[in-house]
Amino acid sequence: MTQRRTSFAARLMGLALVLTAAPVAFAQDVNPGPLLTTFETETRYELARDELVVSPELSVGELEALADHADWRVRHQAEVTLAYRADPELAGRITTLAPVTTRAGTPALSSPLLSEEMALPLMVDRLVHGGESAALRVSLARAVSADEALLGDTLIGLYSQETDAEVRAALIVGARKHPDAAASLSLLTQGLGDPSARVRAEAAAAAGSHPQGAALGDALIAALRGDVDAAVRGAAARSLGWLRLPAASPALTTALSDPSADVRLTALRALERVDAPAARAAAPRLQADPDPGVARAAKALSQ
Amino acid sequence: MDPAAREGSRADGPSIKSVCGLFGVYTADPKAVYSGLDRQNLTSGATLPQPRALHLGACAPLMLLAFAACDKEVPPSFSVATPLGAFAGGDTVAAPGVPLTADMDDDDRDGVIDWEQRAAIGNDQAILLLSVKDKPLRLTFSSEAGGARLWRNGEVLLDAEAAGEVTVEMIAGTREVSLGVQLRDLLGEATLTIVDVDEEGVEGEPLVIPFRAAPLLINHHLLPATHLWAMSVSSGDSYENKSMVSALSDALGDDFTTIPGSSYGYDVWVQDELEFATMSAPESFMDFVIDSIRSGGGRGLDDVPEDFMEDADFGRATWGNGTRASSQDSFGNLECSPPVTVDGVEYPLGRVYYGIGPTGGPVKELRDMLDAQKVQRPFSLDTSWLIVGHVDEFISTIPDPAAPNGFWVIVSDANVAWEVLESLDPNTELTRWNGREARYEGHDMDTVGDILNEPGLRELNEDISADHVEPNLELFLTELGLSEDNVIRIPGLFYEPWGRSYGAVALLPGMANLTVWNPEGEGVKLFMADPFIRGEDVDQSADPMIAAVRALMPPSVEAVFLDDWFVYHMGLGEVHCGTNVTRAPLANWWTAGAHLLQD
Repeated sequence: MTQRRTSFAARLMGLALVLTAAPVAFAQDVNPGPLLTTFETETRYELARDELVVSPELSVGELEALADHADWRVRHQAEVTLAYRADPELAGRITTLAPVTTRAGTPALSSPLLSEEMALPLMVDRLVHGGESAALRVSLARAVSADEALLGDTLIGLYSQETDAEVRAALIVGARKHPDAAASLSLLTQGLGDPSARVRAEAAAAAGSHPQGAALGDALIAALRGDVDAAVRGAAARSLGWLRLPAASPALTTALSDPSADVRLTALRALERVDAPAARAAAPRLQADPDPGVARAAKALSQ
Repeated sequence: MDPAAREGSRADGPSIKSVCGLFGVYTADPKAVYSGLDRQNLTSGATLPQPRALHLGACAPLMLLAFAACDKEVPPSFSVATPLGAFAGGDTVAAPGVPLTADMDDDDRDGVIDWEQRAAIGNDQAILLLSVKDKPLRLTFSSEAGGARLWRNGEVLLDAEAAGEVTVEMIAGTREVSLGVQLRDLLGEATLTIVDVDEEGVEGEPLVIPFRAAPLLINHHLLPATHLWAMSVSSGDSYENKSMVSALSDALGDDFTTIPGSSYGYDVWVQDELEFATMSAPESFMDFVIDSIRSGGGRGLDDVPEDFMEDADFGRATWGNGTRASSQDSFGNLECSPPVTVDGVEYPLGRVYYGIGPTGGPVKELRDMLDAQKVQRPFSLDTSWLIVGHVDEFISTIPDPAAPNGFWVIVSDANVAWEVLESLDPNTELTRWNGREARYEGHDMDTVGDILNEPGLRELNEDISADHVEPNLELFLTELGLSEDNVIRIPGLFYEPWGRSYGAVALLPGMANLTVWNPEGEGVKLFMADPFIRGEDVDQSADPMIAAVRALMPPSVEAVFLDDWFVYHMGLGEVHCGTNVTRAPLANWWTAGAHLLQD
């Protein structure tokens, strides 16, 4: 992979030397307007993108400068344009890469081409502009958000502008291990307040394996106590246990009487991790739980 | 042969009575009667080979002895040689009757199922040789459910295609008549009653012959493997499985067929589209492929059964409608155990099992069919906790003659995995795990230490073990009458790459998700996923996880680790999911499994 990155960088550098003798540009000195205009193009986006690629209006040096711009949309469009200028054939192959079918029956992109450095902006481009199926967009969202090269504000920007709850949920799942912990934590916080229960549930679940997930302890306890959706409450209970937050003990104890069997089971498992004596005290009563999974767990805990 | 099935049979041996009954017509050995039958040439209008007759001169002393021994018994006026032996009036043919295979294949290879052609094609009829003596006979043929025909010399003599009873009077006269019984459905039934009627209309003792079509038997891992199938993939963008295909080809030679990926939409999940089974009878055998409803309309592997398998002695059918398909309709989710005894009940053909996912199990039509076969009484496991939701993802069986029941249960176990990983240098590099493509499916782990320290991974696997794997294993052992002594636990870790809502899938390449290759007379090979717990991509001898798994396996099996990483593991499947095996039956359902057919 290192070799591939060097190769791509070398190509870019060579292209820059050939096409421009311009002095080094700075992002604040270059007009990002054409890039923003292209990014905002909703119909015939591909035509606008291709026109930008061949346009003399922005040199490679200027595009490279804009690839450091504060606005993630400008950065993104600059990277896409640079990719097409550097190797249009490769960029085209990545952009049109056909999905394969996972064993779960869902589409996914799988190719060593995705190891190319230019793959990330092109996959983001497919997510934002590609007109892909809803299922492939979910797969794309999962992939790009898991890429450590994706900057935190891009991740949040993608989430904020996304209208499909499944895609938002996928962005959150992929982001739980993002190297920009502050950005991913911010994303999880937004996710816990998302109007879609599907998204809230994934945000609550992702918090449990986030390095700074404990910072979301109060929000998780609130979700466990008050969310109307059982999947959200169950995910919150599990994360509170995984994070081993003692303050969650009362809420988890209360959740042992939740109408949802999934919540009762995850709460019991969590309480076992957070407050083992409280879990053992509750176990005898739960041995008679109507759900066999809860009863089995309680019985095991009692032994 | 099961004594119960031979009750009253004239084939038990050269008893005096049987010699009287068959005097001058047949040998007493039904195998001799049937030895001249050419099953493949039993087509419409073909002349059946005649049974061997005893030469009268050579048998004269035996005949005299027989007459003397018969005393005052009246020789029956007719006799019938069947695949189970010879019978005469007054005899009883025990349940399940004369076995045959439902005519669901295409023996003349014309693209039409033989039953539909209403022609005596192929080898799936039960052939009877009726010897008529001096009295007229009345033949009554009936079938409660229909789907039965009685043939005579290539013509339909009695048609019970619709439910009911039909009768024909046969003219007397010493001669031999060949009859054939054909059934349409799995476990289809028919009854042929033969009785002689004298000139005054007085009936003799009837012979009632029940017929039973074979159940569809799902293959299990103790049956000898005969052929292995997998897809070859080379899409042009290095999405390929050359390493795995090459290894299988080297190991199996001509017993291996590749399905070209470019012709079938790169749908690599060969296990999921096809369930291989068999139907068998004394005189016929049929491989069978259940074609899953998971893909339809010619998509993916949909046409593979028709293109590769539908043939003479190879049946195909689909149960259910693809518009209602779920992942549980894939056949990595339909397996069969080896033979077991449960609470004193023998299941010599094994027991079928499948997983129930969030929206239910396999389609009802398929479950009903499997239930109706009776001899492999199905049970279900809970696979709702898995993204894909198939039973092969965490549990399997492997043959071993030295094992308590001739096989081991293989189950994925996180504790065994942690034990191996914790024994390693945490700085051990994982070359295959840290590429960008791997990261897209959550494998962004550069070292063993990264796995050990992955946030939430231990807790997740503790929960999965306690709430899903162990309860499923307990149920599996109970349903099969087994115990922990029958289990080999091998390393396995799960994770949730798509989030909690979707469920879990194997993080460590799923080695329990294995393919058993055990051809007759050869050793057992287990094709398993290469875990790649090593820095060196190629050298498996440097992989401590492989060494640990090999140490857990019984000496009688050879574990072969295949590179399934990009095409299968990254696609949420493993070696078993991408392969499929035809197998040869061992036990006869009509003898060993007859007790399970009784209502």
